[in-house]
Amino acid sequence: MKKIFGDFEPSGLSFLEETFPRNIRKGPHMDSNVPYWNPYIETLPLEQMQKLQLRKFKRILEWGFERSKFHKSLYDSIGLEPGDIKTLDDVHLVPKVEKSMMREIQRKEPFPYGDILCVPLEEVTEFRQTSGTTGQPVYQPDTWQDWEWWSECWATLLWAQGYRPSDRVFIPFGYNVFVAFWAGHYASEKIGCETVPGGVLDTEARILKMKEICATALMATPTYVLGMADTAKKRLGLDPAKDLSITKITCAGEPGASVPATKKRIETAWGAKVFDHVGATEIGAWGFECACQPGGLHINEAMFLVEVEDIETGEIINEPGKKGKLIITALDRIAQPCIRFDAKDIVEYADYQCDCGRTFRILKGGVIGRADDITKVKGVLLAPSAIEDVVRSIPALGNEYEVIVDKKGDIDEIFLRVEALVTSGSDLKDLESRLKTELRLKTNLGYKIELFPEGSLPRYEVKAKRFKDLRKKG
Amino acid sequence: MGTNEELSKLFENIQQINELTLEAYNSSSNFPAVNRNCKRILASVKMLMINLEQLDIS
Repeated sequence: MKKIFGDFEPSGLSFLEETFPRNIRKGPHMDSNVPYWNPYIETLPLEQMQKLQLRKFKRILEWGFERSKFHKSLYDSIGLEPGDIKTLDDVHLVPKVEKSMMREIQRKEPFPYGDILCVPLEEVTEFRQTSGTTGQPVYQPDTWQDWEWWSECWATLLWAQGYRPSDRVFIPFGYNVFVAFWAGHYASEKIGCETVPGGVLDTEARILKMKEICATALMATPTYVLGMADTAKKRLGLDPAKDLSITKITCAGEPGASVPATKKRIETAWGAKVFDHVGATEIGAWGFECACQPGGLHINEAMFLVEVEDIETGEIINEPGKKGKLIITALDRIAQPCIRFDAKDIVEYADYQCDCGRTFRILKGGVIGRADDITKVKGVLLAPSAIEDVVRSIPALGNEYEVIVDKKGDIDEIFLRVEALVTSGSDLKDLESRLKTELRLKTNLGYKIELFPEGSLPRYEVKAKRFKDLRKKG
Repeated sequence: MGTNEELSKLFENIQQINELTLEAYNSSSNFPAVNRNCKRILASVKMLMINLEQLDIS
């Protein structure tokens, strides 16, 4: 047969050895002591960073304007063109996007994303969605390039937290249509870690598997990490701090790892360092705690433009120590761009730099709360309005109710106290069963129901206070 | 890695990978195994370019 590839001989051993050294203990061709995933971007002086952000912002704005009817009509409505943005101070002129706006335009052509989509449908390789606890879920399309970007954002944070190719990373999480931990999985692979999906195993099996294979790191929600420690001790007679090899834990989904007492409790239980990270389906993984644990989260400013907006006045806050609402732009995400997204997270800039040497600014205490009183329970966003929607849809229930979120040990519990308009034992039992089912369908959470006779719960003369989160006391 | 010359060479190499992969991609519409793998490489190359984008900002 005629040789058409010249000296290219894929059958030779050297073909396989180009990127894989013969000595299996030699490790990869890379210096793991480098402290930054991207040594240039992560230490960029402020002035250069702002130039980079401005260039990227103008590019993604033009991308959305040219390719999406949604973005074009949004900007046309106030007569704005991408060329009007000349400095970072002009960015606030661009209209904000809220989740409700995305819900309105989705489930239309090109199905199911609607005209916010900026690439041909055939270029979409990933589908994820928001949890839908604040209303109809928002769908999130991503291209291969977006997915590379997602895992790059995660690789930045995992490297900053000390993950290296020598790590064996266990992910005890049921991957599904939500974005949680998918990008963490691929970033762990990208770094070169041995990545172990702990998906459908139960808690005991996950703990035993981590022990069996000597896993060195794990990623999960803070509540679950604490629950696993409890299960290890009570059911398996294992002390995670002594009997397992976990040295670092990356938390997501809840603010717990940025809450000092929770962080300390997890670190004590596991004998490991615990790091927080923050992200969202529509945005990306935009903030992270580095190995120095600076009492807050670095913003990945090379990939995201963060603005903090005064909740009362709408003015942009640039100085530390003043809380405001996060408005964020993902600078390189292309299929469904995230441009000036109103994240409704409450944050404030820290007035100090981190010892790690990164020039990325720090948000003190991470994400402090939610602008619209939505809270996370067991890692799921819970909107009080979703509970009200269920309660008010059942005729046998009265108007008055209250929701109390508390912790039993390390596990979140939700109590729903509500007045019933029926009195017989069997009717009350049926009512409780229906309520539990509908609440689970609507909010993806389980509740402890307490039914009270009509007229026995507190009445309010002015603003009702139906939602109480007792986890926040102290 | 760190001098301007080294970084410039790195940038140049990545641009070459991009050009060569684009060429292979554009000429492989009837060869899915090449076309789809090129598409994935291009996604990774774009990430490389994004990672080095700040280097041309003075």
